[in-house]
Amino acid sequence: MESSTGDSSGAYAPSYSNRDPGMNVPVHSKQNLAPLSPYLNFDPVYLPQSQPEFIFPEGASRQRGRFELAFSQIGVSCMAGAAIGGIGGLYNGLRSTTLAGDYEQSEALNLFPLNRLLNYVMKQGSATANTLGVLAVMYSGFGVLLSWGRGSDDELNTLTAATATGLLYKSTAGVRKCGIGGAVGLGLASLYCLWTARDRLQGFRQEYSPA
Amino acid sequence: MSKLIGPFARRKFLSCSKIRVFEALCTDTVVTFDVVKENTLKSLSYCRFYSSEKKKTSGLTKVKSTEMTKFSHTKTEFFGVHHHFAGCSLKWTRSGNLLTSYQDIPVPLKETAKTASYLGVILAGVGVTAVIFYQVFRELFSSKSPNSVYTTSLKKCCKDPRVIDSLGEPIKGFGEETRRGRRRHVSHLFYERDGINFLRMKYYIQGSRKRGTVHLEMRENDKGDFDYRYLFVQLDDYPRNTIIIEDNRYDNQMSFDKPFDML
Amino acid sequence: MEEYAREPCPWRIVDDCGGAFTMGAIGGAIFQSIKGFRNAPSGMNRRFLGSLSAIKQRAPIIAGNFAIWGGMFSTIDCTLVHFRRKEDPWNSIISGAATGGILAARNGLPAMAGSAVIGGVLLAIIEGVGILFTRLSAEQFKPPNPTLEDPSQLGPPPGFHTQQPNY
Repeated sequence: MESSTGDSSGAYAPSYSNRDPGMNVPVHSKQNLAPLSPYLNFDPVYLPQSQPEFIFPEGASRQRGRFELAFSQIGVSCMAGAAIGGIGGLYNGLRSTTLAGDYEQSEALNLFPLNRLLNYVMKQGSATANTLGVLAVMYSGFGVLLSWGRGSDDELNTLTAATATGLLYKSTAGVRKCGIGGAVGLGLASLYCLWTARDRLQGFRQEYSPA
Repeated sequence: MSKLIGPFARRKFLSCSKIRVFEALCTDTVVTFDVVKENTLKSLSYCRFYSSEKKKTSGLTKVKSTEMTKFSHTKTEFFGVHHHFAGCSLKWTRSGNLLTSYQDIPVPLKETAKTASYLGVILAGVGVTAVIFYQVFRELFSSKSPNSVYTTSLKKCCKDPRVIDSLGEPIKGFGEETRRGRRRHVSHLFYERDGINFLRMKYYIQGSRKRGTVHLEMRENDKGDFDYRYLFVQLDDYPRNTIIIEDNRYDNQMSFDKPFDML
Repeated sequence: MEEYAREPCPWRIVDDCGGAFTMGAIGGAIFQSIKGFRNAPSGMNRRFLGSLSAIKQRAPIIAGNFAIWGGMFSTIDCTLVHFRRKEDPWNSIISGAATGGILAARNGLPAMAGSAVIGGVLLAIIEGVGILFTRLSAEQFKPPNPTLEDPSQLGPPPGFHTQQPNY
C-alpha cells in the first residue's frame, strides 16, 4: 500500500534502507530469549509488526480518488462497449447473412459468411467501444478537473461532469442536440446519484414526513 | 573552375526550346549545372538540377537528373536570392543569368548551426538509446545484476522443502507493487564496506497458502562473483517464522575481525 | 487491508486498457488537431473546423487501437506472470513482442515478425528507462557510509550467545 499510494516519481526511489521496519526489528528473541523488557515475559516475535493500517473518514465508501478510478472506469466502459457492440454486430450479421438478397451480394464480394460475420462484429464492436470509451474519458476528465478545482468529491461533481460530457459530446451537432445530450447526461447522473444516496434519502423521508 | 556546358546539355538531353541553360560549375569530379524552365503563363519557374560525373578522358559522360524543384516565385522575386544546392550557391542576376559559385560564398552560419544542431540531436538520441540498451542487457544477462540475483535466489527458495511446506506450491515471486499494478521492481541496495561490494535485496514470495518476504545479502568474493551472505524467508502470517536458507555470515572465508552488528 | 492483499493481475488488464485508451484519445486528439489544421483549406475558421472534424473522425479510432494494444499487452503479461510464477523485465519484453506479433497477424508473417521485434524493442526501452531511473535515484540517495545492521531475524552470531546487548 505504501508504494501504491506513492506518486509515480517515487515508484523507483529505493524503498530499502536500514530504517525499513521489516529489516531491523529491535528484538532479541527466539535464539537467546532476551526480552525487550523484564515485564514483557513473552517472545515479542508474536507481536504483529508494524504494517500500514488506514482509517478512512466516515462515509468515504470510495477509497480511491477519481484519478485512480478513472483508468479502470475507462477500461470497463471500453470493454463493455466492445462486448455490447460485438453482440449487436453478431445479431446484425446473422440477420443480414440469412437474408437472401444479401447472400447473393456476399457471394459477389467473394466473402464467405464467417468472414462477413467477423467483419460485422469487429466493426460494430470497435465503434461502440470507441464511443463509450470517449464518453468515459470525457466524464473522467471533467470529474478529475472538478475534484481538483473544488477540492472535494461529491454528487455535484458527478452531476456537473456528466452534464458537461453530454454537452461536449454533442457540441458539434447543433444547439438542440447539444442540449439534449446535456440533458441525457444530467438525467443519467441524477439517477445514479439517487441510487447511491437512497439510504440518506430514506433517512430524510422518515425525519420529515409525519407518517 | 567554371565551364559553359550549355550547348552540350541542350543538344543531348533537353529538347524544350524554352529551356535556358545557364553557366554551370564544374569541379574535378562532379559537375553541377542547372536548367531553368520558365513557365511564363503561370509565372512559375521550374528549376531542375543535373549532376554529372566527369571522366578525365572524355569530359562529361553521364548526366542524370537529381532534383526537381518548383519555385512558386515570380521571376522578379527570384532575383538576387541565394539558393543552395549540393554545396553550390546559385544566384540569379538581373540579366537572367545564373551565377554559380562553389564554395566562393561561404555557407551561412545559420545553415551550419542548423546542421550541427541536427547532428547533435541525432547523436544524443543514439547515445541515450545505447545507454538504455546497455542497462537492459546488463540487467538481463549479467550474473551480478539485481534481476539475476533475484532469479537465482527465487529458484533456491522455491526448491527449499521447508519453504514449500509452509507456503504451499506453486510459489511465485514478485517485487514492490507500483500504483499501476506492476510488481516488477525488486527493491535492492548496493553498498560498499571496507572496499567490498555488497548487495542487499528484499522481495516477496507467495504460495498457495501464505505469503513471505525474502531477505538476502550478497557479498562479492575475491573472484568478483557474488556469494550469499545470508538468505532467509520470513513468513507474513502471525508467528512470523523465519526460514533460514543460507547463513554464511560467520564462515571461515567470510569472517571478519568483528561481525557487523557488533561494530 | 483488502486492497493490500489483492492480486493486481486480472484487474490490471482493465486498468491498462483504460490507461491506453486515455493516452490514445488525448495524444490522438492533439496529433489530429495539428494535422487537420494543416491540411485544411486556408482561412482560420475553416482550419479550426478541419482540425475539429479530424479529431472527431480519427481520435477515437487511434484511442481504440491503443486500448487494444494495452489490453492485449496486459493480458499476455498476466498470463506470463501466471505461468512463469515470477515478475521481472522479461515478462514485459516478451509480452510486448507477442502483442506486436499478434496484432499484425493479418498482414502476413514478415509483418508479424517486424511488429514483434518493434514491440519487443519498444518495451525493452521502456524497461531500460525504468532501470536507469532506479539506478540513478539509487546513486543519488546512496548513503555515503551505510551503517546497515544485519537483520535481527537471523539471530545473533553463534559465538555471542552469552553476550547481552548493552542497552
